[in-house]
Amino acid sequence: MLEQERPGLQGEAFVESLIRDLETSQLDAREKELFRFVDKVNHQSPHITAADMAPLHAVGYDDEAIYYAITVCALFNFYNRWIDASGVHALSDEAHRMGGKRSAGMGYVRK
Amino acid sequence: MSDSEKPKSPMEPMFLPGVENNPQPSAYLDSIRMMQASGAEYPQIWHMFAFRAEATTHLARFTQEMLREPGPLSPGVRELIAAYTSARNHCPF
Repeated sequence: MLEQERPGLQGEAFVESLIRDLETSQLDAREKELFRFVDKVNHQSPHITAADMAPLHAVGYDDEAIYYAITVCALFNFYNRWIDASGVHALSDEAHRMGGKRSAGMGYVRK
Repeated sequence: MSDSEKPKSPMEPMFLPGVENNPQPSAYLDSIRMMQASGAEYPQIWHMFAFRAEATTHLARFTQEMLREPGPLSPGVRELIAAYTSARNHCPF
């Protein structure tokens, strides 16, 4: 199941609104289900059970999609600890925007 | 890289000078040097990758594969999961 890129999932304002409140964000009902699950992976992973998969399956996410969601959330938890503890500082907003464009263009691998 | 040849950068040092000042020869080091020469701000996380460049190559490839290569969720949604996770962890990355 390959998803099409949906316009509207971009822009700082959108991301900020999502972070403020998932429920009132512009995500559609299906995406909100996925992000509720991501929150649980992020904050309460020991309490996740097989029952947590049912609402995701119900809106059409298969196990492969759930695998990707869990992996991205877990990987970024690693990155969060990695840089917080080592004193990697945030870029200025302007540099951050440029960096976002750079990684969007070049990807994560330096050749 | 000795202190004398390190260009002034507007960036705060990391907590670990032993890591920050010991990048291994790598594409990360090339990028760091290039950005430092231009005086531009660059992602300090490059120092984390450069310190053990051979090992972190796998981390970078894994990250790329999981976020950008074709998969069941669009790259946009996967990037959003990453940004959302970091934000909910109060991490600016």
